[in-house]
Amino acid sequence: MNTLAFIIDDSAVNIAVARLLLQRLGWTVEEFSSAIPMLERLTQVEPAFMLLDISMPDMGGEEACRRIRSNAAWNEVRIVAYTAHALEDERQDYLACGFDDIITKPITVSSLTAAVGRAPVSPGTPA
Amino acid sequence: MRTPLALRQLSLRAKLIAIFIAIKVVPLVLLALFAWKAAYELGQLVTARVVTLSDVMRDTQLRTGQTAINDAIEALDDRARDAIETLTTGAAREIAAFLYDRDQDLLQASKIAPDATAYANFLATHQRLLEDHGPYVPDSDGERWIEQQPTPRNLELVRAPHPDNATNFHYRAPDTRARLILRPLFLEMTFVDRSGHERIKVLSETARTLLDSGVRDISRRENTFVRAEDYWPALQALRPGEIHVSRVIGAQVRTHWIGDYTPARAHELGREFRPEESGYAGLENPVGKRFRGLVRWAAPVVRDGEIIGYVTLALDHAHLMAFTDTLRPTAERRASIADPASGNYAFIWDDLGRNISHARDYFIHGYDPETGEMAAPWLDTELYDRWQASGLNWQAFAARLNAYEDQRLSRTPHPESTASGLVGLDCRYLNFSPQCQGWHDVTEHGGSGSFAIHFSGLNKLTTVATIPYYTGQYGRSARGFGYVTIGASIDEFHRAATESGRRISEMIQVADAFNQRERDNLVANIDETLKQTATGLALSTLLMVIAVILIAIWMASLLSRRITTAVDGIHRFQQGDLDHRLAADGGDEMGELARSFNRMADAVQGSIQSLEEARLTAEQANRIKSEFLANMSHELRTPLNGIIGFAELLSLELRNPEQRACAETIHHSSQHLLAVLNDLLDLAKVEANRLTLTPRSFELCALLEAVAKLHKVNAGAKGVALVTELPTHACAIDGDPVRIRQIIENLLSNAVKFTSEGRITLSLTQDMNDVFISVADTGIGIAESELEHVFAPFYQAHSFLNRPHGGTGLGLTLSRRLAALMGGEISAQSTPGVGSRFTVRLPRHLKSSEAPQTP
Repeated sequence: MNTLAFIIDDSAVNIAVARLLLQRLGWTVEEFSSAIPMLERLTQVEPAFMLLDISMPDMGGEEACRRIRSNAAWNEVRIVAYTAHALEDERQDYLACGFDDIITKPITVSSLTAAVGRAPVSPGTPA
Repeated sequence: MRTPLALRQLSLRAKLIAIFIAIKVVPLVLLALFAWKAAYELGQLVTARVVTLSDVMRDTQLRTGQTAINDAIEALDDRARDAIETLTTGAAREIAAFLYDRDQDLLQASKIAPDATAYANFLATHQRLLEDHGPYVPDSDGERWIEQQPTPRNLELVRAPHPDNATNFHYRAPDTRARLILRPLFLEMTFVDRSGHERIKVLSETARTLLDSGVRDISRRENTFVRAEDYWPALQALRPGEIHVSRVIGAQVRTHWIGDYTPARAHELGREFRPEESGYAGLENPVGKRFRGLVRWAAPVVRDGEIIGYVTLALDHAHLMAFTDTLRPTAERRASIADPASGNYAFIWDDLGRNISHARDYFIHGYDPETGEMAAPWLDTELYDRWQASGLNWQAFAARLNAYEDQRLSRTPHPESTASGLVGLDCRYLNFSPQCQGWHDVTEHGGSGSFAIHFSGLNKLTTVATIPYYTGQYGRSARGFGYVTIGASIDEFHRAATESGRRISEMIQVADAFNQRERDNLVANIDETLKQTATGLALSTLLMVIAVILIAIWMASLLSRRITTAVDGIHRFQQGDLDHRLAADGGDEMGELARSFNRMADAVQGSIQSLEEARLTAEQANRIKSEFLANMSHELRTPLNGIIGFAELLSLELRNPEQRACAETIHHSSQHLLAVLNDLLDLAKVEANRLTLTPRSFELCALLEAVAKLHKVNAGAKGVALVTELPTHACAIDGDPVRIRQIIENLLSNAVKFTSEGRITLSLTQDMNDVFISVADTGIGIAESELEHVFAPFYQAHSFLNRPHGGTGLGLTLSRRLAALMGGEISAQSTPGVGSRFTVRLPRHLKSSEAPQTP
């Protein structure tokens, strides 16, 4: 079972919250403050799940998502937008880019659980 | 008056054209019609006049011609009548003179001593020329008689001997004298003694076969010529110097039939051809038996003052006949032989009316030599029958008859009378021949005359002249010896005029044909002219009409062009060409209209530009607001992400109850902040028109039940009952269930918040178009003055922290906006201390137009 999850956000707080929550759910987390190193890293390891922020200085989440989706090798990755943009039309744009789901900040256990789309793999919680 | 729809729908140009045409074409056509009518009537008038004139001319010509012919005929007839009358009276006078000469002969004879030799001398010295026509024979066809030896004729044509006499020069050849022969005047001369016995009797050689040469007692009738003479009583009455003249005595000549006696005619009648045995009839039968008669003159022979006897002279009747037999009332004047068939011949009648000379000898009335009585004459049907019925001999019957009894042309001869061959003419009894009565009447007082009568198929002029010889018994009446009549075919007289008439008729016919042709030509010309006029009129009218229509179209176009241009300009402006302006030329109404429009267009364009600017400004503001909202939402959510996330983690991780309560408070407060933020964001989205509804069909009751179930826990915790009053049947509607849920949740959470005891009722009613969702509570209620304010944002907000009832303060505001967005509304009724009722009305079908478009 691949328990590797990427978190990409330019805000360290946001990464911390998400990492803690994912780890609580049993995921192994790699974190990136920008999409560019994440895309490099993606050539080495393939995560099962990805929380990708939208508004980032170097490369936006949408562009990053498009790049991942343009490569058939990474089709298995579940990419969930991790954004404070809460307007409906923005959500539509994200889904159009290839995102599988959207978590509107602030993140909660329940919203993350729903977005992961599968049962958490917490070691402390009997599967 | 209402203008008809069709007329109102016509364009201005079409109306103008119609008006032009109406005021121009109609008078034009009317004028043309008037002109044509006038021309036509003139043509008709002229035609009628021409026809009338022509007819009058024709009639005049015809009448003139006819009058001329009639006049000519009448003139010729007059002349002919005159000539014939002259001829007749001349003949009568000649006869009378001849007879008087015989008186002198007798008186001379009475002086001669009765002696046979002396008497023979006397006879020998009294002769007269007679013309003999010589022998005739039937021609080869047997149809007519021709001269055996044709009389040589002097055919030399005599011309005018001197040119000055050439005008109307006329020459007449001399009468032929070739066949003239001398013939004794008298047949016999006798001396009768006072006892009535003939003492001396001398016959001329011409009488040898006719008379008895022996002396007789002539006092006895049977001893006289044809036993018919009765002169003895007359002789006895004679005194010295007196003369007795007898009537014509002769044996009646019979005829086999009347008319042509030719071999052909005999064959036709089926009779034997024996012309010598039938009566002589001139050219009809030149070889027939002649009438032989005499007229006896007698005078006393006186010796020493005493009558010793009587001398008689018997005139050969042939000398009398010679006066009329060859007389012709034609240009010929005399013919060598009479032609009875021509109708042109002369007769002599005695004073009694008996015929004594006729071209047909059998018509001369004679005696029956057997009896000495008068032969029965030719009789009409009626008289003949009467005679036959009487059983008497003719003479006895005639003695009882009236003369000239009802003579009429309609009577016809009795066939038996005709067939008997005894057809002597006695005018007194010739009742089918009323000219007898005419002659009798004309000669009653002597003199002469004429009249016309249609007889024997011929139109005849008949003249009659008294023979003025009054010796002896002939002196008893004014008619004297009798009368000469000449019958002439009238057509013969005016042959020239008839010829002229024929020529005139021909000329008239030619002239008439010419006239007719001219008239027809003229009428045809008039017709042609009328046709040309009509064609000309029609063509020129058509041309003018076309010209008028073209001018009308041109003028209408000219007039309407500015209007249509203006209308087009207005259309362009209307279509959005705001810079378009009308050409404001001319100082007339159109110019003023254009200027007014331009001013208005300026104003409208200004307003539209202002509006556009305002709109752009508003859009800009809205865009900025949206961006601000998005940014604010983003910027607020980012820290909230940390706060809520960590607070949740802390509350999950912390085991110390105090610490854990703190973490939960942080989590709860940040959740509230998030709710406010979400409501604000929704409200802002609604106001920025960026809230998107997602309509679908769903089961409203189920939704309401689910929402109620969520709030039952909270309500139950406060000791408040939450009940639902929903229809048992399903109620599916079209709407956005998320937003409807949002509204109901707001209302229910408010009700729970503000109700401390009693109950909360969630109910649903519906009608055709709408559903009504109502939340009623038994809470604190709201004063009426405050009722509308509950929908204002943050109405309840005293302060976030000390607010006893929680909530964002935006729930009702947002709910009302959402309801309005879905085409519905929220109303509130409330009584403080009793409770409140909020009712949401929503349309059963969310109309797409009510779903705002995503910008």
